[in-house]
Amino acid sequence: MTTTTTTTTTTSMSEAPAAPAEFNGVPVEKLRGTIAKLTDNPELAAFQFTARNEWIEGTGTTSTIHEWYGVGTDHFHVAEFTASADHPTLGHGHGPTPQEYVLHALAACLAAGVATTAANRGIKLSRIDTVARGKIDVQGVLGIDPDVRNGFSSVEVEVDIDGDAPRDALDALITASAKRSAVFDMLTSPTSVVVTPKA
Amino acid sequence: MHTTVTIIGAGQAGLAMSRCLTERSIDHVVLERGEVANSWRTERWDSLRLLTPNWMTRLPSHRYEGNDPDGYMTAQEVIGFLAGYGERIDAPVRTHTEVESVVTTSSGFRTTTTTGVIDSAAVVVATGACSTPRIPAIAAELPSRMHQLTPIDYRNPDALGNGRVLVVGGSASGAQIADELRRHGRDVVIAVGDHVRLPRTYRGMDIHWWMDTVGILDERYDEMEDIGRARRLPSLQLVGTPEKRTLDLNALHGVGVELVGRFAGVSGTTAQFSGSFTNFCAAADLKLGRLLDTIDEFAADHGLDAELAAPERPERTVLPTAPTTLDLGSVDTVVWATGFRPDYPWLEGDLLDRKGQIVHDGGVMNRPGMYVLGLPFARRRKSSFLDGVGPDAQDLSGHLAQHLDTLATAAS
Repeated sequence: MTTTTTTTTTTSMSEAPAAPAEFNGVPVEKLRGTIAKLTDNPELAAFQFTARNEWIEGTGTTSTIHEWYGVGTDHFHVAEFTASADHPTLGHGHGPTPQEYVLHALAACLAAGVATTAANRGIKLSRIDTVARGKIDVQGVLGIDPDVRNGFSSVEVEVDIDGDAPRDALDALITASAKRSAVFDMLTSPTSVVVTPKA
Repeated sequence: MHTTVTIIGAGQAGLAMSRCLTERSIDHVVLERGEVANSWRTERWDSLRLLTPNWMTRLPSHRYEGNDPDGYMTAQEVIGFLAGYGERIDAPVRTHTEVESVVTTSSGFRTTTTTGVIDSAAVVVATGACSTPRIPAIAAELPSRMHQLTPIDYRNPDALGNGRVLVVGGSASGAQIADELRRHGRDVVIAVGDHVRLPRTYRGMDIHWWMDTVGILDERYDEMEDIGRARRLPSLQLVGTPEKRTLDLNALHGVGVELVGRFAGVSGTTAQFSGSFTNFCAAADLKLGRLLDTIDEFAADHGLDAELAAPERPERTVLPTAPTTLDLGSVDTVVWATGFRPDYPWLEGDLLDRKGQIVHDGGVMNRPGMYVLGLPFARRRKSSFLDGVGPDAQDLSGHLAQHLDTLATAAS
């Protein structure tokens, strides 16, 4: 099935688009422009993201995410974002567990990929609901049984999409998104993680 | 020596181009590092057969004329076919001639070989797409006691040790080798990432007949929305057998091959496989469904339904939970069926991209008078197939002839 080239039009009767063209809220031309630029200048594709975490009390902490590096220069997010985490029974209610942030990260990454892939393929979406569930045997993290791993033993994600395309085309958005998802990759393949005291 | 065109490689691509140039009365020579059909003689396993049915072996002025048009030729038969072709078209082949360099000169090109130097106005690179196996960096982390090989080195199950074999890669070569080893009683694990699943036959017709008839194999490179992606598509999970059986992951699982995800890492003596396996299987199943939908639409539109078996859909890829680790202590052989990428140390650097691959526009290289044949989806989806080199050679020989005319006009 070939897709049409995306010439986005707003559904309202306004005379001229006020902002750069967006499909499903994704600025498709800007995205394609970025891809073209990075294809010609791959050194600009080296990015780095950072989270700065500060302890509150017990198992409770807050991360601040503000600066990021990419396309050859330093940037700041539009705001200083924060996220707090804590333990559900042994903590003080500062936030959900780190493991749940991982599920959020996975769901967010996959859903963003679905929206973007759909935009690229000219498929209009009205809803993407993603539920991510992770099973974990806590004998691992509690040190009770050394044969049990610390992390999730399995993760299942259910993606529910409503859009302007046949069911198979919508299902294909999910597999395509997972193929290109950063968080899916991190969870399914080994990643080097080095933890050290500050020098 | 001087000639008009130097063709490098006397496989199906080089021979097809030779025939096209002869038909246009253009002088040329074909350089071959071994014997005609060299790769078919030296780089194929014993039981290998073509993936495509014999009737699809069509080269300029020569096609399969045997008595098994719906069967699949063995490597030996392909050698015979190509050697016969070379003789029949009287291709001017110089065997045991290895190319050391091709350099642009003021009058065209100078090709330096192990048997001498050739100056020509044009060069056609027809060395094939499968010269150099691509082996992932993790190969270096495997214990040195392990026997590691690629499909180019593999000959038959008896040549391997008796222990467990890990086949890395689930495209045609990997699937075929895993299948053969398993049927010979070996304990086999196959690590699969992205793959293209196909049934051997559909509604009673060979799947290649469908792809040819529907026009998929003739899709042009300049009609594709993402040609880079199309060129990187894994090779089809197919095998050519007299029984016309399907070779997909369900079939492999059925004969007892253990399926795991993409080989992702080595930690000590443990191999790690990606947890992306089910996603790749889901993607392959969806892609297969889309192809069969296209076929059914075509059949309906062309009034073929009455003569064909009813439409059906293969079972989804049925998966036991794929383990993500494997103790390498139990494995003594690894077959890297992880693809090939040709190497061109003998070409000038500015003709290649940053990954060392030839830069071309539908086979026309970045230097007037230089062409390449036989690369995946170079001009058409079937460009790297036996059946695809002919049409590409016809097109490019026409382009080449015009180039020669331009040179002649400029000189006069």
